[in-house]
Amino acid sequence: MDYPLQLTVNGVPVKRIVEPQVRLLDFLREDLGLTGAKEGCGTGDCGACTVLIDGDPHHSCLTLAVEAEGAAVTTVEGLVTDDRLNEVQSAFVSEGATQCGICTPGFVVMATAYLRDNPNPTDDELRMGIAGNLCRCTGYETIVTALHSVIDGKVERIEVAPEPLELVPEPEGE
Amino acid sequence: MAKVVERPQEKTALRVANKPVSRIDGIENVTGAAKFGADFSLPGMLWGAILRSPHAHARIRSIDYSKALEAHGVVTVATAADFDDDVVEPTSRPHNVFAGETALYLGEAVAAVAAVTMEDAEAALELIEVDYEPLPHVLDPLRAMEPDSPVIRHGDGGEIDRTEMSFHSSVASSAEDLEESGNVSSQVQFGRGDVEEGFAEADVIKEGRFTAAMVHQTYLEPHAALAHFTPAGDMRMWVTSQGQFYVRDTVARLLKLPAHKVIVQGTAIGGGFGGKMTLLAPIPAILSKKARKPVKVVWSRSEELVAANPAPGSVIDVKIGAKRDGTITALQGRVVMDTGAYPGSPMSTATMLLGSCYVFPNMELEGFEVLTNKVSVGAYRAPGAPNSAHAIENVMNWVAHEIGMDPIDFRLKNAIGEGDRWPNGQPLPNVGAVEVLEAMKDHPVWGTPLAQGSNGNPRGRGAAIGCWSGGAGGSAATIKLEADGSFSVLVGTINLTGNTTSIAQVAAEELRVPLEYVSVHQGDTNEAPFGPVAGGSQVTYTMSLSAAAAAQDVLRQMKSVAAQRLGADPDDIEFDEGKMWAQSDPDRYVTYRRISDEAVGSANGPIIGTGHGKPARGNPGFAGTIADVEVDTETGLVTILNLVGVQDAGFAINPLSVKGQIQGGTIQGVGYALLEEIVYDEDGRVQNAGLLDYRLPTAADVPDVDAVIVEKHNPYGWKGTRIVGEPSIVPPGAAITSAISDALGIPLHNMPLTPERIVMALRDAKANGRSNGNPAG
Repeated sequence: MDYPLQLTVNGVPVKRIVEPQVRLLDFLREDLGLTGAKEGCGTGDCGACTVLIDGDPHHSCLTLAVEAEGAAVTTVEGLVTDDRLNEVQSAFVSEGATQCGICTPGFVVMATAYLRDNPNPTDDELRMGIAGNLCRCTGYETIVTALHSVIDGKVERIEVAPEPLELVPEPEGE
Repeated sequence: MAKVVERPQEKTALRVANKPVSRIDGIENVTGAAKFGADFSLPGMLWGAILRSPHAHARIRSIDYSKALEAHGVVTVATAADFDDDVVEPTSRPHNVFAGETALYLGEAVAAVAAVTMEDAEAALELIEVDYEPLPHVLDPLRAMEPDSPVIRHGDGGEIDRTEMSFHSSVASSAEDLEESGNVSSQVQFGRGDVEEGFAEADVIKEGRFTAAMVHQTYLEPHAALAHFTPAGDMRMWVTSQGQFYVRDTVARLLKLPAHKVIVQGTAIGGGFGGKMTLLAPIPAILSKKARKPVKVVWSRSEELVAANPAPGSVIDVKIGAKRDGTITALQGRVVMDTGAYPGSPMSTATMLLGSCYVFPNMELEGFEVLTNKVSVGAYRAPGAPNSAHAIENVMNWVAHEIGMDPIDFRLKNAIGEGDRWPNGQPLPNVGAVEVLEAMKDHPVWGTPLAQGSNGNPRGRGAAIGCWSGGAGGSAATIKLEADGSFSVLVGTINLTGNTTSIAQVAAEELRVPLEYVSVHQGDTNEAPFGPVAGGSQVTYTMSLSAAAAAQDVLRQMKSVAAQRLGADPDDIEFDEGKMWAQSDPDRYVTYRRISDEAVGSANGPIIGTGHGKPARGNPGFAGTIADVEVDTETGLVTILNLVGVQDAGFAINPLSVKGQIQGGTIQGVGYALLEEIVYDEDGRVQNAGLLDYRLPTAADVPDVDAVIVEKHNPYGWKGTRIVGEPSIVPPGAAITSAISDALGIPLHNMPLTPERIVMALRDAKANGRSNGNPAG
């Protein structure tokens, strides 16, 4: 049985016919080609598939696509605005909080929502707040440091496009 | 952050090397733009699913998949019958894609289906009729060594394939593998002096039997591969693997295709830690060859935990004798390593590493690799070394305690150094064991006494060191000078956790341009020069040499163009920041941009440099951990209060990424120490095949790691670089378990020390009247 689905993904209205058993994760990845959300476990234990549904973080591996009917879904691909990374993304780059990178999309989506709702957590609260997202490479320290730099308002948003190279001038007369 | 203990004077100041640098691919990672294994798809692509044995040990009498072929959406089915006999090596897991005559563990692949949708493929698995004759099975390695144990046999036997383990360790074993007997697939011995005399000289002898659990690398990206056998006969593949050339060669061999017709693009890799080599790739390849359509296969987390290639469990006996003054007189050790259903465990390395951190005048080590009906094991970051360190370092702490010596001083007194020999007889180059121990001793945590625990809970401290030999493979890189004076580097190695940034730093340093002038591209197996497997901590170690050589080749060509234009001798050309000039006439210069322009139109053509690199030898990396813990004696819960990770990196090309490696490896060690264990039931079925029950450390479980980089110049690496990736995981398990033992005042012998095990150990000690406050027993 097919289901007509309407929702907004990263600000763009989307209309698709889906089967009712299709997970939101597969809908985003396979139907829309938004492969930023990852499947690390498929059981809601690792957080790599985290997306925002009407602003709240959800495991897209445990959510059916049809549950997002009428909702505004934001994936990691939707966090860049005005050609700049958001503060969490920028801090992840600056602090070396991404190693292999597979957990990073879920982490930055989760942390973006968490810090919006909890702007001044203690270190323990912050660690508990992100404990639903697993990272196997970093040991979490650089991630926690990156998020503290966001909390402290120290992050400058990084431009996505590279700066033009500063070229050496040609010698005079050439 | 870094402590330089030995470095020759540089002629010119360093610009970008040895400076903390953000990842050049950081933006791709945080925006979802990086494409990992499962992120690749092709039009008309099929999905593959795998049928797995429901028995731990069974003869396969027949497989009938005719009904599956008729099912909705199914295009093809593959089994062992699709591979020619002469390419299948019965004892080699990578060359044994599907179970043939016998399934040797529960979860072994028996067949695979390609269908239009994943649902169709999975539904068709149930229509494949396999006639199994269950056989007696054995799961415990000690039981498997007994004469009346069920015996595991692979087809007709044959040579044992050890290719994969050789990627991780460049140390040759001088011990001969003894003849296979029963379920012992391999055996080694190392000896020196006379251990009986050694123990007779000792004032104190301590010994114990240590078990370490089978654990999973748990890269968060499960295995994934996409294969497309094109009408032109090319096998194009997108695979998440640590070695795209290893995948290429394995698939070419199994499918009897020319190597240049198997074109593998290694994707962004979501962690590997030694566990991602060639396990999956041949399955979509054979399915695509049969279906003549693209086929993608992605493993579930449960398939990962049941049927990948985890790290081995082991039983290790260690006995150490020492004099009252702290001089070690003898070491005796015995390793029994559970290799699962196929040989290829790091048993021989684990055995040798028992005797690799200290000078043991008398030594007797033996190791046994034992087959069981469990999934076969693979490499996991310093394979076998955490198991070894757990055993040897706990006993070292017991001996130190018994003779009343500071455990770090005891280690310093016996630490191995340049010219000393490893158990295999190999003399060591200038390793940093002493410098790592000194940095541990100098650390404020070591100098600060433990405070009283909360609610009367005991606290303890443990120290341990460990080492890893690492790989030292050959590699190549090419560098092109581009039209605007920037450079692009082409490599064939996998960008495992940021080594392209280090390679860019090397190129920028040699070419004397800012980092923004350099990009690094990982080409497919036809485009890129060969690069070794990203394992054995070797990529940066070897690629820094080949990238530097390629840069020198580029500079030589550029100098020739510049010399011609300036009317000077190429040997007289100096260069910096995008300009070349003759030293005899420093007022005139040509820009890199102009050189590119001239070269493109000249008979010598555009400038492209090639460099080859191979470290003259491996040089083991040493690491140390200090752990402070508090133990809740009622619940068995361990809280880690302090974790210090010290490692000798030789010359840290990117200290930000070296620090990240130390932190990450140390926290993986926390998993070894406290949490992780693949649990089997008596039928050979994994009981915790998901991340809820197979517990990884979370951000809430672990403290910050105080990462200390020691830099002792390595004469074989670029500017002194040493291997970095693996050593940090070796000592934490030993240090943390030792700290728990110190807190509770009882000897402990198992990893992981789960709350349950701790409570049981306390109960046993009480029942046996052994809670005497002596961690050395």
